[in-house]
Amino acid sequence: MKGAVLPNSASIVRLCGGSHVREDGTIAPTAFRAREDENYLSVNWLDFFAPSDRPAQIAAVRRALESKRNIGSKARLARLHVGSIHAVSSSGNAFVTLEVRHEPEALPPDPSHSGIYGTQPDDLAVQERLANLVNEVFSAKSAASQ
Amino acid sequence: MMANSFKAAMDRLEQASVPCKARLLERLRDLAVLFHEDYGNEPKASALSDLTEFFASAQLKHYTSITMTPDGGFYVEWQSEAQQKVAVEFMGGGVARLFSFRPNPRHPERSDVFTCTTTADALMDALAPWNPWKALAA
Repeated sequence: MKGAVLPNSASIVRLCGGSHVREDGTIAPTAFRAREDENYLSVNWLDFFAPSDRPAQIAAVRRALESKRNIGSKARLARLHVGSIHAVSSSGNAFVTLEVRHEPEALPPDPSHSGIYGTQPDDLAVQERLANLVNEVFSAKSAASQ
Repeated sequence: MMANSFKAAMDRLEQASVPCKARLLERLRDLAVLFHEDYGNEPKASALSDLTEFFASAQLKHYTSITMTPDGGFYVEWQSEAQQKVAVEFMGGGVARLFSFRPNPRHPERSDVFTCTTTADALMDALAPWNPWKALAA
């Protein structure tokens, strides 16, 4: 349901452009900075697709993203645990409440599209915390498109 | 002298006396390509000029991490062994933001964050109260 808060047990991925990826392959905090005109930080809900089949989930997200925009050669998908994002409000910065909500898009279809609400473009402390919560990093381009 | 294009700013960096210059130039060229892929623009020339002046004046001995901000600025990070981290965002137009992260001495699970917005040419002065360069630049 659009706007529903994702469960803490879920995982999401954030598309991180190559200009926000450090040379060692880790993700810089600026990858979690929303633009001034964005109400939330766009992510994709992995568990929306084929529960427990991670490669299929990643493939589905890649297909959805590639249908919407050009994906850079070094772009990455950074996986984070939703529960750890929700916990940022209580353990990191007492003045911030982060919430991950389902925000499916119809055209082009991106049914797993979701958003992290509560981030501010100039709040680098939160961006730093989100970068530190990255569990896993995948190439954002499918093998066929590389 | 202000560089009015990214290429001119890169040319100026090539002429500057900056530690690890060859690697720095290679990284910045790569970042310019990646930033264009991501946003269809080139990085801010004035941000690169500010970064060049800072690196030339600071003469830090070690190469460090550089990435981009979504609006074309440069984000430079230094991580010390004591889990202390300093980051500088070169925003362009002579403006820089400084961030210092360090574990809270009484609550190690928390990070204390110190921030400051200043002019790029005053960064070393802004950093002085925390003196992170002693540990980070050694």
